[in-house]
Amino acid sequence: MLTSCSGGKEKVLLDNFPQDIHKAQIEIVSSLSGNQSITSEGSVLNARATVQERELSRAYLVELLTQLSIEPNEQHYRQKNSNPLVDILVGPFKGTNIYGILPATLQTDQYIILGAHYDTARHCPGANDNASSIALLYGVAKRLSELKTRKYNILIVFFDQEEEELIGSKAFVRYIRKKKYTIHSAHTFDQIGWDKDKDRAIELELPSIELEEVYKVQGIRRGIPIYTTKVNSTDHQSFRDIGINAVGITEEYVNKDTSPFKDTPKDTFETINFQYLESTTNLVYEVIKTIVSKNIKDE
Amino acid sequence: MSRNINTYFIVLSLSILAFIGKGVMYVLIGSYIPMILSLLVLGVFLISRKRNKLLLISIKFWAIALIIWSLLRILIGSLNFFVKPLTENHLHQQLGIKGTIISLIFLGTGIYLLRKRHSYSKN
Repeated sequence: MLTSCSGGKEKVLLDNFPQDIHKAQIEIVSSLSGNQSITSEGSVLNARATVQERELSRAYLVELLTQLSIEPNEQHYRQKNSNPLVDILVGPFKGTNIYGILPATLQTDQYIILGAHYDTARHCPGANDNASSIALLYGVAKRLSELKTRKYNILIVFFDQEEEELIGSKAFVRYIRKKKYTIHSAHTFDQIGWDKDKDRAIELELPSIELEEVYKVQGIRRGIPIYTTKVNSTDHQSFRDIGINAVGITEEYVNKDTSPFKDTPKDTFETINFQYLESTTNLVYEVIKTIVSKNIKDE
Repeated sequence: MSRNINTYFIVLSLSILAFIGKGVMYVLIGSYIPMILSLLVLGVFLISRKRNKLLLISIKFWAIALIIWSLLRILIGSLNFFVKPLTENHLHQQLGIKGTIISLIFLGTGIYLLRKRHSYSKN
């Protein structure tokens, strides 16, 4: 077994990719966290931090969107350092976000953004942080694609460089601003595979009143505790910074029912609670379904 | 102009151009300090090109700036490698082996410009 990916232009294969969402989610976390090889050459992603590792991860994500019949797009960016003196010393941040659009079935120019970062800290397999959320997005997008009516376009995005000052999501926010997209809301997901107390609870980070309500209604219906926190250290903050209605969704990070292996080599496939991932996938699907279906019957 | 003088002029020009290139790249993404500093250096050299004493001082300062720039990068890279790894991946990668080679090239350039400045200014 290889100990690291060899990067470059290796072909990522998703042959025999499971059609069942639960099995597909297991496959996604397994592939992205180095539990199984992702290329025909046998390359394994032991982390998604270096340029080569992130390039191989993107190749996988592109294939994943293709599986959903969503056209994958790359948004390349460069970003200055936070301190101009650092700019003199080194080059800028360079990265690539991957996104695709599941179009609305009705005429609209509005988008709901569902996002998760794909990078990790160095030497960290990142099963929970954040392959779990990528798997969640796959499951939600797959089910949304089967809806007969969608009032909004759904923009699925995988951010680069969240672990480095949210650089990827900040770059994406600039991009959608430049493209003049009208955004209904942005929902970003980070660490959604740990539930030691098995209560299926999630935390909403800084939701707007409107988004908090729709999540809590679905939580009550499904018997899932939903807590609201003020954590702003992940991608949803990039959207809030420019006034977009945004929310972060995560496991019980503030309540301390969260993976103790964050940013370590122990953030592995074996630590993921796939029942919890499935439960949260279903919850998020119902939330987004509610939003994309809202008022349709009334119109 | 002798071959040595030609080489010196080329090395000096390339060292300034490298930073102007970096400045242009940063201007495109909204950071102006690298460009302002690069143009400042270029301006000083354009003004001092016909004034021997001023040219010597300019070269001296530029060469020392290059040496400090390189040594700082090597120092941070060494701390990153041997003492405590930087948390930011992009700094970690930029100050790795490739980054160190770039730093060493500029360190050599700075030392060369500093040591040979008198022979260049005499001509």
